[in-house]
Amino acid sequence: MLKTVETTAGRNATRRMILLILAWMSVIALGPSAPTTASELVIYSGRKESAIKPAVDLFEQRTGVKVVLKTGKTSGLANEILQERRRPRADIFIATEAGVCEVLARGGVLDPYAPPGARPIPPEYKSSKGFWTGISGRARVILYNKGLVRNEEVPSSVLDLADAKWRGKVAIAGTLERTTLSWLSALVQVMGESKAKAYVDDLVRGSLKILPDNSDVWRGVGSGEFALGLTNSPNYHLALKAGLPVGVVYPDQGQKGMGSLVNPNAVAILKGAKNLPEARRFVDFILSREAQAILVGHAFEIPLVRGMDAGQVRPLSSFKALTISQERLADLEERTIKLFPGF
Amino acid sequence: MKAAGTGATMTEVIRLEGVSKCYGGGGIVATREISLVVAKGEIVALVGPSGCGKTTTLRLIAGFEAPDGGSIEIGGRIVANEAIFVPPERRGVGMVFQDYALFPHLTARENVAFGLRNWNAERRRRRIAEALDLVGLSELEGRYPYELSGGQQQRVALARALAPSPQVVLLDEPFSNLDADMRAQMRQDVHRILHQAGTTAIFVTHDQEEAFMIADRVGVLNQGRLEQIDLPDVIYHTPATRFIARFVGSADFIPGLVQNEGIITELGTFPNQQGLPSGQAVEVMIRPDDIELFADLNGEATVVTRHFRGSDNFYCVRLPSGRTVHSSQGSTKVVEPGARIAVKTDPTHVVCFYEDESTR
Amino acid sequence: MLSGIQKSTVERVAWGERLGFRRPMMSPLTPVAALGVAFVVLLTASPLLNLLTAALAGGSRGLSSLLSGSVFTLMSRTLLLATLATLWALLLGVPPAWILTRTDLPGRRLFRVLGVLPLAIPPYIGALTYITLLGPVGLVNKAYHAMGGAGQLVNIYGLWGGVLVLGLFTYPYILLLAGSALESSNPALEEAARAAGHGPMGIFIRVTLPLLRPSLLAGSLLVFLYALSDFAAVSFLRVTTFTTEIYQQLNTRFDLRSASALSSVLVLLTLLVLVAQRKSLGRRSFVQRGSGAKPPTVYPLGRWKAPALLCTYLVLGSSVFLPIALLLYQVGSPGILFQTLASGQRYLWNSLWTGAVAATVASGLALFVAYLIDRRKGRVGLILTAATQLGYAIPGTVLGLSLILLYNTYVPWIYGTAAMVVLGYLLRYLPQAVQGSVAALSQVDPNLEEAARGLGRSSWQALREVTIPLIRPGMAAGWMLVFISSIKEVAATLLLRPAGFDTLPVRIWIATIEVDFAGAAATSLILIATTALPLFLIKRLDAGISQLD
Repeated sequence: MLKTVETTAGRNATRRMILLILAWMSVIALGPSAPTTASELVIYSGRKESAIKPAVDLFEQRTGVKVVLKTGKTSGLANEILQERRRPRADIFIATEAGVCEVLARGGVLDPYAPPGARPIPPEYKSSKGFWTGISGRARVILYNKGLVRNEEVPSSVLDLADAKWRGKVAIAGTLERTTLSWLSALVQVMGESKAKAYVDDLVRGSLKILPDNSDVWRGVGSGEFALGLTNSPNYHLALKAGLPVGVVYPDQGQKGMGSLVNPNAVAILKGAKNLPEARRFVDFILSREAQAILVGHAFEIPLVRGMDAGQVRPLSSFKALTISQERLADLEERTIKLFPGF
Repeated sequence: MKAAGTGATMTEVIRLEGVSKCYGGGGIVATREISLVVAKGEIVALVGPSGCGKTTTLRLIAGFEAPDGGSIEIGGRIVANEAIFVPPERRGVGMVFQDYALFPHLTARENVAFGLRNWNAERRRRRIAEALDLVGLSELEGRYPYELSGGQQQRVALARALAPSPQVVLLDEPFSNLDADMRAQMRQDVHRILHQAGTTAIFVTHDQEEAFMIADRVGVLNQGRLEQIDLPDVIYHTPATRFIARFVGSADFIPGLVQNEGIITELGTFPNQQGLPSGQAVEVMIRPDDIELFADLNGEATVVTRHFRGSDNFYCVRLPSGRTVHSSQGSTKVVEPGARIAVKTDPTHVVCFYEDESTR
Repeated sequence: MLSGIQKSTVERVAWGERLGFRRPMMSPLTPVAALGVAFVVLLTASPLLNLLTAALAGGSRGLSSLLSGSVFTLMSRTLLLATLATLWALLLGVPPAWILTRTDLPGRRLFRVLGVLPLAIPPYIGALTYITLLGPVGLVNKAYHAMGGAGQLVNIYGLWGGVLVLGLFTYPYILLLAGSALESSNPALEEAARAAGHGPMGIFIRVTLPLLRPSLLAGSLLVFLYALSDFAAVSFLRVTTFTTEIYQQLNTRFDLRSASALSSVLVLLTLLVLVAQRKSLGRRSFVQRGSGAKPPTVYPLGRWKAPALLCTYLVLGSSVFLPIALLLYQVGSPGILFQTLASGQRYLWNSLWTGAVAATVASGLALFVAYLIDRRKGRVGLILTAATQLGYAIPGTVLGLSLILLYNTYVPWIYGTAAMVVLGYLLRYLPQAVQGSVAALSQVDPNLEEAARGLGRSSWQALREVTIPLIRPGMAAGWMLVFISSIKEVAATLLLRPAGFDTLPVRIWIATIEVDFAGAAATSLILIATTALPLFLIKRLDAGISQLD
């Protein structure tokens, strides 16, 4: 009888629903994604997975320590860490921009550690209090489209970008990319507030295109949407790899030039880390030659440890870097944001 | 109010005692202390204008509402009072809704089977067949509600309500959604079906004619009060209140004075059937069928209007005092408006109301 | 729980009453219902409360960001975007909904399945594909240059691009809800209009459309609120909205207070929209389906067949075929697709089960909530409506952060599990399930349940045997919406996923930041296929259940 069938079907559906809910609860309780055990090293990484994963794998191989990796955007993870402060979940934080580590250090969520392997790193690329250590760097460069910019026109200074002939043709990422924020802060430091403001206002008046993301910048320049872009050195290599017609300038290299700002990637240990010894081992490992070779080679980063082979990228010693401490940049941050509201 | 005269030998199926119900935090009173007893196999109609509380009474019995006061018994078991509330599914009550409320996702047969869930398969099959046969829809059992006419839907609803052999079937305005000819037919059918099934039934209607035709007893509600419940002819001929007098049929009220020889009125002297005290001023209820007209050139009354209604002619007559009364005459008896007439009144029941008060 | 009800013969208060499921009454909520309401409110309102405390904790500093003039510019811009996107989605959704349910268009069943497919395409993927097509150096401009044109023919970046993309990938909300309402509406009403001398167009405008109002409002609400809360697509399209500003506050300044303050404004906006929706529905009755429901009238198209087909193809083409073709073009070779599929099974499974669990729990909760909202139009209904709708208004990132703080602090045993991801989905998309259930429920005559009660069913059984079968199409649609939205969700998932637990959208996002466009496109295609599959299944199921189809 139809009716009976209908009722049974209805009953089954209800039973199935209850089963599903029970299943859900059991998944929560014992499922494959149960909370990580204390013996697993939890790493929150803002570095690209393709860059950090091989190094992590090698670490696991060498030490037998099990690692759980959560890849995300540096600032997103930092926010997460700040929210988790009452019950920290991560042991290690890897940031693509050291300023974020400085923010976290000021938020009191980092545990200081001065690894022996960091000794050959110049002081501006590690925390003076040992809260974080630079693991590689990226220089602020001018990227240009070879089809749109003739050789003789290639600017040599960031100041040239304010030139009227580049009106509407220059792109930069907004301050959502913290490297832009650092760069602006560095300008304030080096040029002084009023000059820096005047320069940036010139750029903005010249229809500087402020994009959400650095990848928008290099892809935009590569595709010819823009002639010039201010971005980070690895992006030049990424664009080359993608077969795009781009050239690069490390700006302001002249004698009086301010140099190119180098933003370090950094590693930090979280306060309250459940696996402190393993965390320290990881920091030591990441500064080792083996790991450095992977991190630097894979992602076109600039090695910060003196004497490391830079591969295809220009080593720190080959250009003039703008020297400023991350602490100073962090001090300037609030002021910078106020100065340049459009970014 | 007068409790109905049910024989002591009859089994009570429904007993309401002082049932009250308010809505909106007591602001709107739906029923006021309704008391009512329904015997087994009896068909009771509750009539009244809209908003009189009749549907609420039905819903209280069905268990869709909880009373604020009083008690309800079904089959000798208290189903609602201030301490107990039995949910509708445990009351053994069948309900036929005004819009039938057939389940649109089930066929006629499945609708009927719905209340027989706990029956064994063989009994259920037999019962479904019986119920469908009773309403004469065996042929259409596989149809979905939308494939049935209004009358057929009504029958399915009835079969569905009857199938589980409930102690009582409640029908809420069962014919109001049908057109006129279908309605007449369905009234007869429902009456037959209910009697055949021997079911106790309470139904609600705003149509007194319907109530008289189907019901064994009729209860009239007004503003939440059950004003009278009795046999249909008693309600019609000796209404307890002016409201009922008007509601269950046309009625005129003419002033009269109680004297020793009877009640003296403009239309003549009537017997004092109620034993009213002499000297009392009253109003006598006159039904249109109590008044006869004769064409009479010397008559003191005049025909004001005549409405031909098919089976009768309905007259409005002006009396010498200027007062108008109504009269129903045979369809062949034609007196044109303006004609002088003589009026003769011979009521079998003389119902008087005090002038200032609605009750006798 | 069930047996308990069945056993007791005489109860002080009926079960239905206990749940407050009584039509004309406003009796106080009974313990079980109150507990349920408290649970739902706690679940949905706790992140909101957290948000408000975070916003107010900063005192003047948090609020100062609200007082700057830019907030008003931002607000008007965001509202403009959401309004235009909603209008665009209505324009895209209503004609196909009518064509596909009420005409004899050939292949309409297939079209109906395809018509919902854009829901399987996350707007951020849609945005990316449209950028490849209509960006400054997109395919269209390239072709234009190849033909000798100079400058830019089109540029998708900006407000209009945001409107275009948001509408294109959210109109199925309207198509679905309007479609199911059109299917179950009472043809007698249209016949009445026809008898009154109106042609199909007149009937559509004067009868069908007004009666569709609850569905259209519900659909528009979903689109509007989506547009308010979307982050990824608008940021790709370079539109500055509330959410991008909130993201900025969070990710450059780590200023949770300002972000919370801004989010509170967004929540307030949503609240206003909801109140407006309620006001606009007012006291009108939209119950159409009595027990004698007939299937709706189907109009023969005749010479209108070609325009109707063209309209359907245009809508589907720009929202389904084109993006998928562009994704295939980006993937390049089938090898990459298979490779991604092989390596991404784990992520696929993660997406599937979290989405399914969230959808199922949401449907259950939504039924409860919808019942209370529909059958008790009192304060409780209002509170529940607000509580369940607001989750939608909190941007994913902010919601994620709130949940981290709350659950890591108070229920740490849940935090760090995939249940957090499910919770995130649930809070963000419960409104969709609630909307679906409320709309469906409002079409069911409450008498039907009473009839079942009179026939010996408890209110729970009446619900299961009568109401649920009748609203099953609506509930299935709600389930599907939540499932699809969930497996597309990325903002909250990124924050809430336990370490080592990635879903398909997270992989797409990671591939995008790694500039692995082929991988991102391949994963997107897998995501779309995964979402499309249940769409097919549920459509079938739907057709099987409902004899009205």
